[in-house]
Amino acid sequence: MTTKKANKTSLLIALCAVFSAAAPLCPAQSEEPSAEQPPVAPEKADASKNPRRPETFQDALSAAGDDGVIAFCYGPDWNQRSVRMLKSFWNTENLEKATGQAILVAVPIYENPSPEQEEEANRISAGMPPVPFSVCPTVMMVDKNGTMYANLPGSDFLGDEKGATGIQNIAQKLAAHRKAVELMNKAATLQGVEKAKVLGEIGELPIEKPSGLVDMLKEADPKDTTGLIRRNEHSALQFLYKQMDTKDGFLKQDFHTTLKDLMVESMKIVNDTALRTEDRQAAYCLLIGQARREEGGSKRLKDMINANMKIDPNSFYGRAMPRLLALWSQERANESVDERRTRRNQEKEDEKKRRQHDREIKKTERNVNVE
Amino acid sequence: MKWRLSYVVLILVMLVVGYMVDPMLFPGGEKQVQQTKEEDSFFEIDIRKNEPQRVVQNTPEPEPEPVVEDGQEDEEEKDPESAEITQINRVLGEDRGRRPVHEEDVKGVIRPNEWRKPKALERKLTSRLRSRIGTPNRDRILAFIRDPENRLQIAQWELLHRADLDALSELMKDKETADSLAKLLNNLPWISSFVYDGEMEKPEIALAMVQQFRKVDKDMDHDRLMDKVKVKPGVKRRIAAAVAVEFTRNGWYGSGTPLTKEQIKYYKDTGIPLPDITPDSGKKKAPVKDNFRLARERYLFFAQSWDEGLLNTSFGNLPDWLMHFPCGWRGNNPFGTASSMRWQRDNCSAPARAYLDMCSQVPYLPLNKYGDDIFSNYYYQPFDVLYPGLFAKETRDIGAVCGGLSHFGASSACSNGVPAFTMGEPGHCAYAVYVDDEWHPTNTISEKRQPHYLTWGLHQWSALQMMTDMYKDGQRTRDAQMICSLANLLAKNKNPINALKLYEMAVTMQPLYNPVWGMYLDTAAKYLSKRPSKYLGVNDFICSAVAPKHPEMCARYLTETIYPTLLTTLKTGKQKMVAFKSYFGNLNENEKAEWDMEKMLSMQFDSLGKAVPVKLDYFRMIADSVRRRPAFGPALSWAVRRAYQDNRSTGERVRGMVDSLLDDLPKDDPNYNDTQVLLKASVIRAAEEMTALSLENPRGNNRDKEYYLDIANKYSKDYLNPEENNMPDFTPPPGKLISPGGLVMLDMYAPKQDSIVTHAAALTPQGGAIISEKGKHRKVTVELPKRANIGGIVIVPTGPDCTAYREWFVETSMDGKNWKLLANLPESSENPCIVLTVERDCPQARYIRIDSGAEQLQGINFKAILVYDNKKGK
Repeated sequence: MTTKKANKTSLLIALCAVFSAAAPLCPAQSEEPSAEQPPVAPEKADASKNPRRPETFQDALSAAGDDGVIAFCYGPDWNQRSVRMLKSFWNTENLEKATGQAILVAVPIYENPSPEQEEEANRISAGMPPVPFSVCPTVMMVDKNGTMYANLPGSDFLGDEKGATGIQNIAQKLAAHRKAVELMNKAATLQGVEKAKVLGEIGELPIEKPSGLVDMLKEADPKDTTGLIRRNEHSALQFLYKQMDTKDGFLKQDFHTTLKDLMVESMKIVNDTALRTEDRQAAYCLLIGQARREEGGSKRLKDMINANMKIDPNSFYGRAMPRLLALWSQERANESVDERRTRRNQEKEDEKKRRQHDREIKKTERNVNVE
Repeated sequence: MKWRLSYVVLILVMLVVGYMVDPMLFPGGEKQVQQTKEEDSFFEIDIRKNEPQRVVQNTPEPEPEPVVEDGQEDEEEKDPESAEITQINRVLGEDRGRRPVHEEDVKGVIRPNEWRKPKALERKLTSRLRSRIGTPNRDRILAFIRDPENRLQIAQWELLHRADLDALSELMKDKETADSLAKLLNNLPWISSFVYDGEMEKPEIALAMVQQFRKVDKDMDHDRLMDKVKVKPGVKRRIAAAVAVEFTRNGWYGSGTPLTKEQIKYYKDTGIPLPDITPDSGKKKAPVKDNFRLARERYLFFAQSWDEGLLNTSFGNLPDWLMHFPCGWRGNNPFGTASSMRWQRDNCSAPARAYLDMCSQVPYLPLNKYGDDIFSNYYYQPFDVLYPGLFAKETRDIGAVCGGLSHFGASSACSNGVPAFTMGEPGHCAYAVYVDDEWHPTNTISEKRQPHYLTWGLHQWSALQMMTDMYKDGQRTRDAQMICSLANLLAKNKNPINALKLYEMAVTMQPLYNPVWGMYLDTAAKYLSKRPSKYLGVNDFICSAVAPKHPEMCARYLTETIYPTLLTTLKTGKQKMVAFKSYFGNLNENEKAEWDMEKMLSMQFDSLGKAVPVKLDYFRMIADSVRRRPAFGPALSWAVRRAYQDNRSTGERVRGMVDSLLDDLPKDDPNYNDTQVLLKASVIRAAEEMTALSLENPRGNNRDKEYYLDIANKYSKDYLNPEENNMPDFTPPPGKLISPGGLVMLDMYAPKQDSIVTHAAALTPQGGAIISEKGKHRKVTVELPKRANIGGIVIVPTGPDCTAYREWFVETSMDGKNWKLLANLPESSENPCIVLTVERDCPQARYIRIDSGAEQLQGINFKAILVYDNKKGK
């Protein structure tokens, strides 16, 4: 009996010793990831269990309702940030809440895939519109037909890794998309100018315009009484190249466009309130640029800059106007084309001399003693 | 008894398991742990523990063996790069909580106090290394550089040799600086990378930069990502070396342009965030004179980005020389500011290959919204305030032309840790990205390219390619560099003959190591008698080692370093011919000669003297070489041109030689057809280019033009193949077909797609093919056999439809210089070809030109261009 007891005690002691010796391994295994372990999404395995998170884009598209599909593109073998965002942003409840009934799918973009990985990536992304420039992380939002209505690449749109900004932007785009669907349905029940107005509202939403919007507007309001066709058709760039004396996009050597030539057409655009503020201001910019080239810092130039700012001081162009006023009010006035050319040549010469001078200074700096 | 046995077994099992789990619990376990850790991690080398220097037996080797470190042979044989990895950071033992190594304990390590007196240190190292080398012979030197201690001291000596020792002494006066830098300078992988991977100039300034980096980044020696990503150790130290070396050699250590008070006030008033001034400006005011701001910003950008896992993972595993490209990306350019690069890192991160197309994010816009063109100072000025410090983003939003596009693409790659650089092409700017172990040019229009990244003082693409090949051969290159340093040491210490031996050893070990050739030949010129056989040997060696893969660099070596001496030592033309044959004999058939080889050819030819037979021999040699290597066809066109310049009769004879060469290609050659096409294409292309040249310079030699017209027409006839061309049916315009017998000229040839020999056929109803590289304003010019009244033109595109010709237009000219617009091509057409008919006032012209316009990147791709002469339509 005693022997048996002793045996049991010894066995226990021995086991304890074994376990105590083995103990240091346990935390190391659980806390420190292996250096050779490739960075993969740990949530991938669970994704298929959630009906809102199918594995492939095709499955997502089949299950999509009016909220469409939202795809998150990440780089498993090269982009750690996007891989981390799978956890901190993509696979979160906050995102699910903010995206209504949209179907969510994570799409890997590999840099050096193995044949299996390549096959997997092709299977997951089959049927998806191409990701512009393969930028990761990117959130691509498509409607239920698979047409992209918003693309949110990089930190400008997705913010930091926690993704609060990203979720906010996605929610905003999704709301706009829902509104667009609603307006499109409403437009289908209307005719003429009323229909055009509803279609016009779609054009103002902060998502990609539906293809054929202008054609639909032309059909609904052929005489453009609402001004919406002009609004949606106008291109500031095309206007610029039409007005300026260019060849192949470059100003001709002896370009002869004058402020007087530009004034009538540009002011038409500026005063056309049916057009977007940005387009109107861009047309004014063309006049401002020409005024600077012809008149330097004239009173007219200053008035134009101020007038352009008044259209919308907070817009892209509006915000730049105070700086422009400060910079260009010093420009020389009333220069003829020849004088301007001479002056520019002189400026080029001066610039050349300045660069030469800078180079010399640099050379001196190179020989500077180390402090 | 039975139980006792069980106890014993159990205790033994327990002991074994316990030992396996944690040896530290047992006596002697600590040592074992250390050994185990050393085996599978990056341990410290204690040089004292190394085996005594192993002497290699005298076994003749056909090629020098790469040298490996003691005790590392097996590992390095498997993977040469892992040799670098296992080179240990011996000093920075603080990593991963290990016991720091005391440098004074390590034999061969230089103490900080010694670094404070660099002149004395240089003397000490010199005498130490000299005494150990003794009388150098090959085996002794190979054995010598196997020893890590020797390698360390060689690198240290080389650094001191290139430094301004007074300035270095000034720098090291500060004890903290000396202590800190000594750790790096005693670290073999770091110092050898600092000295040899890149082009170290003014090391004292580069070291001052590194010291600044250490001050702002106390954590430089610790890689936070080490546990998560498998990379070579010391990534941040390697970044520091690369940034310092690149910024120093480019002189990018000025303080930049500080903001004026008004500017700062404006930014504050408008609420626009201030651009980066200095990353560490939060606590204290930025110093007035801050020589290293740009470099420090760059270092912090990469170090922090790496620590935070924001760079492409492959960055950590880049070889050190490749790390110089992203770390040394345009430090003096608005694309190279930390804020701009940060934006590109966060918004343009893509798999490496995707950077080849990243430039397309930027719209090609020569005019901005104010009507100012891209070449004026006003293009970005109105928008600068909206994009403070974010030039890349500004470029993407506002637009650019080729330069901005290429800088955006390359900068995107570099900002994410992928090597890239921009390069100039004739009238264009392109860029290249390092993908799959190769440089891939992109946004390119020409093969005549000059990288903006300076390689050995050269902007040549071929120099960069050669440097790439050299570094790929890592271990051999490093050994050659070490041997070269030893040679420098001997040369400096008045031992030129032994120095010469070592230089020779270095060049034979790594002939692609450009700088050593200069040193070798300079020393040879000073101390060796000018024995022709010696120089002929060098000539042969360079030709066999370099010419096959790098013909342009080989020609450069020859013309700049070998020929100036060699050609004076060789007395007869025959001897010279032997030397020249060596070059042509070693050319690789597949390597296209897309460079200007005329300098070398002229130098060779001019040295031959006046004897006509020798000259003819030379031309025969050229013709013979080109027969075997049709890719070098341009040499043939040079030969004819040069022969005519010499005198008419020589010209006629060389012309005959070329004719017979083309007619008598060896038909038993299995590549007969390909060779014939290639060779004829070279001659025809030369013909076309010469004609284009004579248009630019009408006073040029018209005989050339006639000759080439003749040859182009003669050989093109062989390639009329109407059956394969499937020419469509069309109703021709009124008048007589005038184009057959004319000459085609392209502004940008696409030799890979365009066989060129069918150009003449494309001017006939049978059709041929004319294909150019893609680009804007691609032009094809047709010189008609005689002046005509252009009544109509038929253009047959290769593709199935004619919908791609928006913006294209056709012009005519009498002289090939002054052009008049004839017509714009239709935007779209359902016909399989475009038929232009001039209904009245048919213009008189000798030339017609089709231009693809400026809107899109397109290439000429036509089956036929047929021109009709309508005399009635005058």
